[in-house]
Amino acid sequence: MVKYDDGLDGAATALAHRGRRQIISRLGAGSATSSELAELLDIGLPALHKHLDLLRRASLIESSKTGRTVSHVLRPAGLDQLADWLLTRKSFWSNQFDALADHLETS
Amino acid sequence: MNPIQLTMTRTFNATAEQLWRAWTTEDGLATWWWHTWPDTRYQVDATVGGSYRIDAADHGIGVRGVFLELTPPQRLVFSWIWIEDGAEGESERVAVTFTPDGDGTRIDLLHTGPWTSAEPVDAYRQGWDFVLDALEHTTDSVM
Repeated sequence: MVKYDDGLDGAATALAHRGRRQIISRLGAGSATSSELAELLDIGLPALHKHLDLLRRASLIESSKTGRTVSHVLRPAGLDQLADWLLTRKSFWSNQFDALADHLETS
Repeated sequence: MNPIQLTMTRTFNATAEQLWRAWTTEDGLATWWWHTWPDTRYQVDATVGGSYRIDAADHGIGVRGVFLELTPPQRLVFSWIWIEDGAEGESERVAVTFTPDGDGTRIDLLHTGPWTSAEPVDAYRQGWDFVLDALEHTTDSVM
């Protein structure tokens, strides 16, 4: 099973919010500026920055500034950990269910 | 509900009582859990607050935990600590329900991680679908 560490906790907590999941989904299609994300979520920049901070601390996104424009990109490695957590458990329980179906004594 | 959780559903050709025994007794577990490893040790105290421990020491893996809820034969909730080569993971949580389904019984399993969120969580797609979709888009944009 995947080893649990703080990165996983940060990522899962960051994703336990609809708006932040919207940001991740949007960034999955390519980079976006702060204004674009604020418009997408229909929130002001201060509120957006709170979410972006959380996502950055969880190592899910990276931000960079060009002139006065700040843009953000997804860090797939952050999601990889979560996917791994889900994949290992899905595969484990799938095998367990197979074993249960094959070996359950119903007499 | 945290979206990062695993759910699994399957219907078995057995009664809920038979499945309950298979999940909550040492003899029951031994018939299927790690049946390919006959030296596996099973210790189960199926009471609320009671502990369980399944050890395949020869293979360096095991799992232990505590029963949090027991409503025979419908619902079973227990903590889940994976042990690998002596190192223990964080405590996770597994909830299993047994529901009559035609001539058999449907098991719904929910495995959640140890994280908690202070944010109000709204209903959304399963974390599994979400993460896979996001990864798929990322792969597409990288290619």
